[in-house]
Amino acid sequence: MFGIVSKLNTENIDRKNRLSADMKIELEKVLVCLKKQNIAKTEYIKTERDLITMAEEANLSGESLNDRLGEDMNIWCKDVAAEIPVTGMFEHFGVGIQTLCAVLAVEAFVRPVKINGTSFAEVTVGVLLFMSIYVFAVTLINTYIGSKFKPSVLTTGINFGVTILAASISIELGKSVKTTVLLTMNFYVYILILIGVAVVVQIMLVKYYNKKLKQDNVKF
Amino acid sequence: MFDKSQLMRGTLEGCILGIIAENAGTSYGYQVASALQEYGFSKVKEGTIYPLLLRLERKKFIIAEYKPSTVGPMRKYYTIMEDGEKCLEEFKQSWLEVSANVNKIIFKGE
Repeated sequence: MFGIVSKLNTENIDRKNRLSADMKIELEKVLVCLKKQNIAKTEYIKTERDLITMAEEANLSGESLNDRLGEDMNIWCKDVAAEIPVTGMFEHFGVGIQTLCAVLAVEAFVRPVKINGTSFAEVTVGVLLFMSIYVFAVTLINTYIGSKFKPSVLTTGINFGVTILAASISIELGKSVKTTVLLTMNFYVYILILIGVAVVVQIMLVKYYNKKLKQDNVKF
Repeated sequence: MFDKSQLMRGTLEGCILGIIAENAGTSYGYQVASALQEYGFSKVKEGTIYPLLLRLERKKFIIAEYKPSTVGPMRKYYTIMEDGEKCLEEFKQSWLEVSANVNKIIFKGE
């Protein structure tokens, strides 16, 4: 799954090990500062690679990395972080909560309707649950691979929409919004099927992102 | 006191695109910074232009490719893309207009 990322990471470690001791220390200081910016993992590794390139050239010309950066590294790291997708813990937490809300709202909807055996409800629940899990999968991908679209805007938007939709259907039907932790067997089957679909979608998305990354600027 | 960095911020992107266009696939961070210094942007360092290069990459104005350099280590070489060329042309036009207008205003009596 993370083939390209791990290859890039290994390559970075090898290149870092070839730097002089002083340069390594200097580079580590900048990398620590960069890590604090909460950048998506792939973007961090790509920036690390660019920094190592700077450090290698500084090594050759007898300059320091700070000479190359030309400004305070804290400001530099912030400038860099402003230009690349940033995923914050708060956003992930928010998306996670929203996903949970969506699932619980859907469950609140399905329990009474399932008793009447309405097939429309089954389809609706299937679609809504699929969207929730799909969005969750996309969020995971964004976290680990980095993304071309910002997860904070797109996934949170979709997730919020799903939550509102699921909750409003529950209320619309006038059924109990009370949710239960114990789910029916059918509900478990739904979840298993949908997780399966989500995994397939996730694999497809990972392949797509890997392809995009290769096209982007990574030439091995 | 006049804040030169504000003025630089708006124009540096266009200048970087100009240098990358001029060097057709042979531009890399340090080279772009050195070229800018030669043109008189004395305080511009490789680190200063790195976020701008990222921005230009993100906008698909330039494309970067890692290739071995003549001196040994890998380097990130930049090439201008079609959208970048269009942006450069627009920048040139805008710069001519803006600089002409500013000159007319501030050097009126000279």
